[in-house]
Amino acid sequence: MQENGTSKVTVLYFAAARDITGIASETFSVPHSLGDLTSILTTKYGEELRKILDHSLYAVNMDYVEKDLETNTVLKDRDEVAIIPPVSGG
Amino acid sequence: MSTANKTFVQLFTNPLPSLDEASQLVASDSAGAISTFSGTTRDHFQGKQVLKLEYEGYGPMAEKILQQIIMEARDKWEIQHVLVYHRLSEVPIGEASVIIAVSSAHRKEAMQAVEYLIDELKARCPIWKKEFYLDGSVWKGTCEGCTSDREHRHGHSVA
Repeated sequence: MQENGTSKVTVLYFAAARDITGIASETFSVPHSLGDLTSILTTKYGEELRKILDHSLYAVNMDYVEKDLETNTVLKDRDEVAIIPPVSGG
Repeated sequence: MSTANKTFVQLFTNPLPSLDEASQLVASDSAGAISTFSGTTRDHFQGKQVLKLEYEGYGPMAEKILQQIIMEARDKWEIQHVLVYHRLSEVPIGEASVIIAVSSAHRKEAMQAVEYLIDELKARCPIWKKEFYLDGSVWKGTCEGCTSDREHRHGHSVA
């Protein structure tokens, strides 16, 4: 985290999430945790993205974060956070 | 011998190599078995005609997860060489979207490892399939919490 307590993170959007945001990635200053990022994202993109987030996992620097650990996952400067909607490869 | 075990993981935007080529890559004189899997794109979903399919991936993480899954398979079974290739971008109907090949001294290990690899790939690898119909398109998604193993839609689909 920076001195002022916020972290600059890059957020990546894929599949259904990217259809809503219309962009592949953007940068946010997040006060503390993944839970704070969820608030920022739903404020910006509304109910449509919230529904996606409910069914998605975050990956921080390419590691999945379990759903119940989101509020406790503290973000650092330059973290890469991806929204991973339910996957359907194969 | 385990130090010589080879792993091939790659994402392609072009057509995948053939199963023959994949088999040759994992072949080994000490392997009595090569087991392969090929997943191909289907032309229908619940009675609807699928016109085309598109795959999108979080490439670096997809490769990382595939490497992890392969390490897990190596822990579970005595297998030799492993290949997992997945295709991204548009895939015409009937073409392979994923191929897997595993060699082992005896057949059971290779066959079980192949099944594990495709199951875990489908559950964990950050790749998404979009199906295009006459009346729209849908991102497909499965949910880890679901008990049904049938493909189905979740609330995230788009019209």
